[in-house]
Amino acid sequence: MRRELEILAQIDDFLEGRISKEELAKELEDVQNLGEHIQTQKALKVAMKKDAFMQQSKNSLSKFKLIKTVKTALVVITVLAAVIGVFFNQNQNANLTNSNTVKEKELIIAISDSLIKTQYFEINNLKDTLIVTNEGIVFFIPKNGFITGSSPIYQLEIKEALSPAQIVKGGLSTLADNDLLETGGMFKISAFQAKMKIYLNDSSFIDFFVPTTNPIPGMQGYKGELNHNGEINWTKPKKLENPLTPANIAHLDFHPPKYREYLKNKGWMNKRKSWKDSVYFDLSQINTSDKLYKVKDTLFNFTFKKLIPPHRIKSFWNSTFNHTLLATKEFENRMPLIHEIGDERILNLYTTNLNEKLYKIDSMAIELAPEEFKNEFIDWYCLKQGKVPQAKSTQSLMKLEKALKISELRQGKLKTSKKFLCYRGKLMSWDLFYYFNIDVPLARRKAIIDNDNARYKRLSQNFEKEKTTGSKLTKAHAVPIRSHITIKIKNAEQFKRKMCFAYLLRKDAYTFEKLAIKDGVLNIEHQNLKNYNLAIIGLNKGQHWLLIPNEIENGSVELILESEGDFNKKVNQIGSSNRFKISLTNQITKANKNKSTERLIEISIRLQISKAIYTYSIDTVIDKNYINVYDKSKFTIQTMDYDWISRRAAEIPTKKSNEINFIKGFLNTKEYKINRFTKDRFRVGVFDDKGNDVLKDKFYLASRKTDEGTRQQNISFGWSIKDEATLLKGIYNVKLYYDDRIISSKTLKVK
Amino acid sequence: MKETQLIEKLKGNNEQAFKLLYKYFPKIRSYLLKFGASKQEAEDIYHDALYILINKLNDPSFILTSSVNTFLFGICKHKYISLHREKKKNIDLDLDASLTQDIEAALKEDEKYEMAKLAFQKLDENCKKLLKAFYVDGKRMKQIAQIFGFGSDKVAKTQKYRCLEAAKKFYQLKA
Repeated sequence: MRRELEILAQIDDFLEGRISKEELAKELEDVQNLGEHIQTQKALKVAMKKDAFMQQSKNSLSKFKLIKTVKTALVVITVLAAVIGVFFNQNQNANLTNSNTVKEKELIIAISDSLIKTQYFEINNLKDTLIVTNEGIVFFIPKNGFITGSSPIYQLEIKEALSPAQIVKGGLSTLADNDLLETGGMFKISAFQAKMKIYLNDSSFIDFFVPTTNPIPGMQGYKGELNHNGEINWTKPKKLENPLTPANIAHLDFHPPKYREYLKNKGWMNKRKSWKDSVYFDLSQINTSDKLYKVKDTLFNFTFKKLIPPHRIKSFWNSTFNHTLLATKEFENRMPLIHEIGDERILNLYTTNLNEKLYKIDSMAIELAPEEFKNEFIDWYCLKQGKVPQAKSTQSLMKLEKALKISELRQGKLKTSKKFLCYRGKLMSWDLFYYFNIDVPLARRKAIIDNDNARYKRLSQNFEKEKTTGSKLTKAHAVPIRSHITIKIKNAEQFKRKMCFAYLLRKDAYTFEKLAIKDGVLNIEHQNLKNYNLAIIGLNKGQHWLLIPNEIENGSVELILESEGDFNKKVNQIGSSNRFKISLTNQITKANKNKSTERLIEISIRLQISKAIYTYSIDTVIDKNYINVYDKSKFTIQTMDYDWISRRAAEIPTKKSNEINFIKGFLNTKEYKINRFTKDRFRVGVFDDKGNDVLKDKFYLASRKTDEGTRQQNISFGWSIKDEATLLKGIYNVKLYYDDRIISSKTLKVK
Repeated sequence: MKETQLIEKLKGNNEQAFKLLYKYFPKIRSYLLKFGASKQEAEDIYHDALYILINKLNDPSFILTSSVNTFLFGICKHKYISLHREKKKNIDLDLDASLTQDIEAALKEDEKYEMAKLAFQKLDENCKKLLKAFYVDGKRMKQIAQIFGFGSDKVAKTQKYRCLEAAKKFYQLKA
């Protein structure tokens, strides 16, 4: 540092009391008029403080004047109408209290405040501002959102805890009184100007986006109230708004994943977007065979198994559809799935219902989606994502896009998912200065899904049963055994009070139950401990001590010093949970499959019974001598009407065909969607009276197609008899299978 | 609240007590307006007076011999006079000698800070923010480095002293 700056530094140290007058004189003995330097520097310091004081005072004066004006008005109004005046007074005072009152200094300080690092942001109240925290939480702060003094500049202090390691190191738990909550993340925002707390205007709010790779439906926002120990209890849950995340549609990516993959392999990903788009839209030479869509272009040559024509994508991928649900991150997230299915009808649901809430369109898509893709739409549906919020300016949209991009990059460090998913919500003035937690009560989570619709009935029946036995979770965890475990921590005395604690972390949910350690002893009284992992933590002077026992049992343990990286890794490993989501999805799939299976078995049985009862119900007669005369002997499968009242199909086909060559089977359209993607699941068997399937021996498959041009409800199998083959006289049973189940049976007589 | 309680609370920087000082404002303002002060001038003078009062109360050697209201009144009158010397003869100071002495001493000291304040205001915005962050908000160098995007706390410290040097130069020019 230069000599002049050194002089300033030394005088600063003296004025702050870090060095004595004698020491200063010794250090600066070569400086002339040292006294004057000191006085100048002192005056500058005082002037800065006075300036800040003056601004504060002016703010206080404004508030004082406002109160005075209101009081004067009240006097006038009271004279005119006493009752109304009282109401106005109450109303006005409440507003002032909410928006303007500076809260008294809290005597109780949250333990977490000292454990969680603070991030600082300086904000200009005259501009819309977007900030991205270290873990990727995005906050949108509107201009003129805060009530500030004469200066528009203020400071935000943010604390966050998203990962298990952060939650545990921050001493946070997910308990609302005695109810266990499953969390999506926690944070705290405080706002200051010149060391004074400031609040939002009554009509303003802060939008937040908390990233997640495992969105759980039914999440609410909880407020963290401090108890006398400085621990946080979560209270006052409020529903999270679930608006969509708007974006400029030109910046979204609606290309099929396969196209993107192709570009990547060719090394063309960095080409201009307009180039990539124009090539994609020009893919016109699409040839289809039975299974594949071949695309040949001067540059491109690849195949799709399923395809939505590029011109369909082009029809909505333009600025006309900005500020609609198509111009949102949420819709962008659904496009890869829509491309994979390749069914334009599903795309149409989204493009033709722009005024509908997104989750309602998802529910329609569930109906149309093939079996293997239904669960993905169910997951989207459960998130209950709504509509596009009020339009933001183009500039704000650009800022939001940039912020979300940064959030994705920051998330990319920890997460593997490429989709940007987040919990959305709003913070009002009274949410500031408190910890905010996004949770759903574990017990309620299943019930929320159950309430959605009848396809989860099986799950809710289980849930209802478990309620009466005292357990709040799935059948698998239903046994309520209460355990008493005592664990002595040998090296607990080296940690300060409250810096040594334990956590019970559910194996199948993102919950954090904090347990106190008293005098080096951890007492656990809990039911179903086998559903939990235990982590015992000690924090001391920036060091992290940890023990994760293999079993939760009585004994004596010692915490081990870990590096911060290892600590985070180990805690994140046992704390993170995709498992509940997976197990829930499996149960839903199982429930659905069970339903389908039941119906199929029922139909099979009925068919078999009918054959026994109506043995000689002959559907088609073929003359052996003429079997090769006809061009083809076809087994044509057609759909039948579904009886919506009795919710059953007319299962016993009895109609005889007027055409000798055709055997008509009837299908239940509800169960068996017939289209080019499902035709592979149908097959035919032709059984002689000995029960041998003679189809492959005697016939060859000439064609298999659906009537896509019409109702997409008919499927035709063209099995032609082989040239040298013949059918012996007798009764043949022609069966139609869907996967492995008989769904139709016909009798063919060869005479 | 009794006056003694008010003074004690003001010494303890109690926000509620500070807000109560504004009850004296309307009368003082109307007095100043009567003698030709503008509304803005009256507000500025009153804020100055508050600052001087708080400063004095925190000085262990100072003993307030009058009521808070009288002291504030006195400061405001003197302050106004010093701004508009020609109006001196029209304003009846009507204060006892010792109080006048205290007020005059306080005002003289305040004049130095006024010049320093002007020098501070000549700095560019970033310098003002940086110095405020350290001297007023009490932030540490590490925090300041983070907020202002400096490479390290040492860089932040050097920058702080550069800003202080600039302010000092402005102050010396004024003086």
